[in-house]
Amino acid sequence: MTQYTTLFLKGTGMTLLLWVSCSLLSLMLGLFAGTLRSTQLRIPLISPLLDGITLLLRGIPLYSQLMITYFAVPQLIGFAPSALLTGILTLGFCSGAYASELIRNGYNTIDKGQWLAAQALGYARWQQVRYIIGPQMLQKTFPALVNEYLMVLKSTALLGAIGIIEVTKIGTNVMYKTFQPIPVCLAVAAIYLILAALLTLFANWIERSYACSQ
Amino acid sequence: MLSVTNLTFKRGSQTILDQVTYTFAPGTITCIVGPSGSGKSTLLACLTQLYTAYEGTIRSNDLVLSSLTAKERAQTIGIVFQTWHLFPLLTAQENVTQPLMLIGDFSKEQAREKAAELLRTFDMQDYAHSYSSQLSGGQQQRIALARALGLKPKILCLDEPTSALDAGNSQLLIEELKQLKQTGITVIITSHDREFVASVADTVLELEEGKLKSTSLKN
Repeated sequence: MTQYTTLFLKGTGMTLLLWVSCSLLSLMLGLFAGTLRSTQLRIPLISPLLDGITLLLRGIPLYSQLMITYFAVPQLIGFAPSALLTGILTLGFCSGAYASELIRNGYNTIDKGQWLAAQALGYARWQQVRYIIGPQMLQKTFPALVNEYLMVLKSTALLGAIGIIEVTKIGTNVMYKTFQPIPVCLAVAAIYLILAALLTLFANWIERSYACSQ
Repeated sequence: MLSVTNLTFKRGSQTILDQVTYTFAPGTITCIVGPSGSGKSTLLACLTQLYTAYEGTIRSNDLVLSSLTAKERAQTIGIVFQTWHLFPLLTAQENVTQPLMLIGDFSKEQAREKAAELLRTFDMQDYAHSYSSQLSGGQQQRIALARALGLKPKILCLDEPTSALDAGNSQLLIEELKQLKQTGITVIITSHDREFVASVADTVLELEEGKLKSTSLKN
């Protein structure tokens, strides 16, 4: 098994790359869509459009979305982006839809009085969001967002289906080669567990740092 | 001077305020009383432009409030809410400094000095680094007062200020409001607390079903 260490390390690197890039894309999209979908900040036409896109992305399984973006979309647009780009965009957008729902709910649970207080003090709408409501929303949704990005980590395993060589794909290949499923599955599970533990520790550290303010 | 002319506010088919006309004299304390649902809080929300879908005109020294920018309006009329609505992620001091920097165009240093001065005025300097969750109702109210007064509004509204205060804190508030009046600020208060109203008001307005029913001069 030791001869496959380098392969597993490369696969772990790819999983890490996918996880970080999909999570960052998801967070940006989630913040954008979740903000514009919240009750207080809706914009005619744009918010209903974002509602529709979110419904679509949350309603179709990620695996089916990968099939659509990797096989169907290139036929429609006439060129095929790389598997890596397709995978990152598909998982990032799919997770972004879930993140936008969490963020929208986060905004909607903020006491209306906070908006009124900021408005009474003369804050412009963007200042209300930037300085008062946004930070409270992030604090409320933080645990759910951490959960979402743990799901993204585990969902990167699906990207092997479009040929991305991430750690589960490496594990599957090694298993087929060695016929030793037990050590391979244990190694793959341990890698995911370590990465998930790192995010959990990081999230706990952030939560502890801000705990004094509530 | 704040003058309200034919102020009408409707929610759906229900008329919350009906043709309210009144002029609040400068440097006085006016209390608005009336049963629950009579439109007291709605009147304050209209005066402070938190509700803008009203009919009629609200003027401060000939300036129509609805035509002011958010910043100009905040520097004209301020409000302390019934449950204060301090910003929970900011300390007491930051609650006061942030509007000064964002709206009052103070530098960070100037805002800190001004906030320290305001906190001293309300005897809250020892709680500057406390969060709202660590403060009592009376303490939160004093921070909310300091925050609202930081922008130097000419008119200050208080919505049911004694509803969450014990007798001691209510008495303290009465003293603070009397001191505020000395500075020339026009104070408008909604209250159910007859004893408090009797202690603090120069004028009492009675609202009933959205209409101004009576006006009485106390002092």
